[in-house]
Amino acid sequence: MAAGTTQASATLSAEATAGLGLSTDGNQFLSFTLGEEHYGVDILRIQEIKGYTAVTRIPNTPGFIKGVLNLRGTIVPIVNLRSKFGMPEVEPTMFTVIVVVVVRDRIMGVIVDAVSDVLDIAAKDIQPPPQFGTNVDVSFLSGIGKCGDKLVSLLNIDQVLTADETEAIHALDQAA
Amino acid sequence: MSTDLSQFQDAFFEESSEHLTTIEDGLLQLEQRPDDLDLLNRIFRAAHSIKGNSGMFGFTAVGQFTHKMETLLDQLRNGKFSVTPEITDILLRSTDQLKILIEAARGGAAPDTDLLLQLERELAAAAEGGEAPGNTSSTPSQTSPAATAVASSTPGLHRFRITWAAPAWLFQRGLDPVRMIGELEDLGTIISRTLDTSRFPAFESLDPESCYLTWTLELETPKEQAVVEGVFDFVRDGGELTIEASGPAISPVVTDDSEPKPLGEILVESGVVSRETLDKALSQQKRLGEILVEQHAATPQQISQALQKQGEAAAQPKKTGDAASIRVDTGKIDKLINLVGELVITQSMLSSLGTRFDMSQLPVLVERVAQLERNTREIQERVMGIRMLPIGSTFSRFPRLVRDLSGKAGKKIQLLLSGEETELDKTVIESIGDPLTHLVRNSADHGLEPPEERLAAGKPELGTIRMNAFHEGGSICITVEDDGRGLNRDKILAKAIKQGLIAEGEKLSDDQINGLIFRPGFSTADKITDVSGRGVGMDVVKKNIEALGGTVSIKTALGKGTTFTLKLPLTLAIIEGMTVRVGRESYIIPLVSILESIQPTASSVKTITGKGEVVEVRGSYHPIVRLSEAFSIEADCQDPTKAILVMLETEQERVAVMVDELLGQQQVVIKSLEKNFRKVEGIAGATILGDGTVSFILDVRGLIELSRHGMSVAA
Repeated sequence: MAAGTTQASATLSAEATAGLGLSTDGNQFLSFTLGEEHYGVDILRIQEIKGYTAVTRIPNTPGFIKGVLNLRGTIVPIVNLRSKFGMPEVEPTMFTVIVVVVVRDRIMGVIVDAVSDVLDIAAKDIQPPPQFGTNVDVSFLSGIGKCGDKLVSLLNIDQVLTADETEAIHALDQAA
Repeated sequence: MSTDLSQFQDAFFEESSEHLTTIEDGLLQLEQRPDDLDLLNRIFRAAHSIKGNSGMFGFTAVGQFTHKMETLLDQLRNGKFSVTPEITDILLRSTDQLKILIEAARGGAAPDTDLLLQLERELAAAAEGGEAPGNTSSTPSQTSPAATAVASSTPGLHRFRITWAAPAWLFQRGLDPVRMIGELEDLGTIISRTLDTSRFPAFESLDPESCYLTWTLELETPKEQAVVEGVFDFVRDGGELTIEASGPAISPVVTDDSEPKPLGEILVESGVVSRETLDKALSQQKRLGEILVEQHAATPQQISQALQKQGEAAAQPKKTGDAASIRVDTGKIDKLINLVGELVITQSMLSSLGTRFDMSQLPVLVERVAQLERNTREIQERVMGIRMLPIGSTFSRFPRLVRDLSGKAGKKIQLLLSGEETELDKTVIESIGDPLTHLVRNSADHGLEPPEERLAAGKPELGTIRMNAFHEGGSICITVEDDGRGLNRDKILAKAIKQGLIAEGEKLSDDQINGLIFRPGFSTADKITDVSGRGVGMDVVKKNIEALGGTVSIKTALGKGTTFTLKLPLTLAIIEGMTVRVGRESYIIPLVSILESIQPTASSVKTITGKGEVVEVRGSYHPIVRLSEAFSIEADCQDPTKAILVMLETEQERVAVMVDELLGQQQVVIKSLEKNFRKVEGIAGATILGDGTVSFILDVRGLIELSRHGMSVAA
């Protein structure tokens, strides 16, 4: 199935993806896109996927923290993955979704361009992240997966989001 | 114990602490009114409940000790002796010890056994002789029962020891032993009663219709023996009855048969050995570990490891016993249930309306929705009310504190309490105990003068500390007021300059000077007492109160007294807020902090060095904080005269916060922002508005600080 992934399934609706049977063999990843790039997150870390809605901006926080959202009574911070990775921000489209993940007992939302698929990637198809020198930060990656002719960057979501936090607190310290 | 009682243990601990409070309160009042029998009975009942309950849960140490207190209380109740300060003192100290014992039963630190024994002896001695020798271990003769009891029995009264093994057919003939004991009570006073259940057969051979009980009663009565015997006329045959005139009272250390005494105690009581001999023998007793090591059965290391394990196991239950619970007035619950009933009715009316709705029914719909709103609001209030407890429970610890403090400081102090019925949130109640204690100690130690100084100043010798609690607006105020010497402005200033807190010649307002005493490490006390003066305390008070979202203020007049006012939010979960708009964002300002909202005239807004803006409100200038600048957002109005200035107050300072528009006032539920994110400066929390979007609640203090260091960065 992974080899036959087409652009049509890449635009699979959020509900359908969330509803897919979560067989848990540890090598399943939820894949999503940022621009032309494909990313994957360990499916067990995903709590839910919800359509994009406007968020409330938090004053004096770094730009990648988009704001907070009311998720059934809980206040959840939302991170814009594009600005986190230094990519240009885009206007939300009908495919823009918020992927809600659990990071060290905290619930956080991540804005991505579109979710595409649940991928089974065998361990032999995952290779360690390449080194690029200083201009490309690969510390958020746990590896890169090969899926047919597609390259999927597998994210270490803890690293992505807790690094946010330390950075944000660091920024606060500098302001003080 | 076959039934698992652990689930009820929490209830026991909670009840016990209530009973302890009753005892302590009662004892303190008893000092003022030694003849109040009602009061004495109340204390007795509380002690008795603790004894009974502790027995049920197997906390024998608690039970035995309470029993000894009870013996003394009983003698007081029977008018054997009158209440003297010495006796109340012993009882108060015993109450403290009882607290420790109960805490130990819960898994707390082990009680001091020496102190326990000492108190037990004092109690026993007081129960016998009506006086409290400091150390009775040197006068063991006094603990022998025969010597004192005869002397203490009232002349003209007879004392009978009645042992009655009830006949097996008692129930079959429809006779009720309770009624017979009641008859005995009519004759006089039953001083002690013991139930012996040793005649019970094994369960298989138990005949539920037979009576196997034996009572031993001690009766004090003006009637003759024949009259007493008459009570048992109908039950003579079959049972065993002995009635003997007993001069001596029962030994004061009598315990229930269900609680076996240690061998040593029995030996001492029966006079075989003296207490010293026993103590000596006990101290020579070897511990199991030592014996094992001596016999080479185990190495000292193994023993110490095992001991360590034991220690750890003993320390463990401490963690588990901490489940918070709350006792709620049944009336509150009943009202809530009624309201939920109403809510269900409204809901079913609405859903039946929804199934076949057409536009003609619109007015009905509007009315039902209004009803729903009313129901919801009422339920919300009631549910919040469940968390509300009267502050009296916190106040009740202070009479004792003041009594002890006045003894220690050699001052005469009376404590007046009012507003005990004022209700506030459980969390708040739990957290204000310590700050209030600090304030009361401070008033007793620093505030009030010694008697001679008071007399010299033309004041009554008796100093007064007044505590009051009342509602004011959306918050609760608690005041601690003393009629002492007041804060000495010059002394504080001098000390502050000496400690380098302020520069010499700095001009400070009275409020600012008074505020200095809340600085960490600040103390003007000439000498440090063990009560206060170390300079820790006032800053802790301030910190604790501010952590609860409250404020502390001081009013003082030299030579007249000082009043501390704590202003606290009623509850921590819901606040009344004002929604304000800045550009496209809206924020909520807690209503308690808002003094007023104004639209200034051009002439009242002034700038200082071209940057700092101030506004003149009724003759004084206050800094303007532009919310848009503090939060780096776009505002519609840049001109203060077109915008709205919301005057906010924290502790001693006032600022004017500039916003675009006031949107209205509403109750908001505080949601944590830190749970999934982190603390954001200037924001106290988040809330969810009616349309489901998130809005932030401003933290006024944080906002002021934010605008300050924002400015300093700019400068």
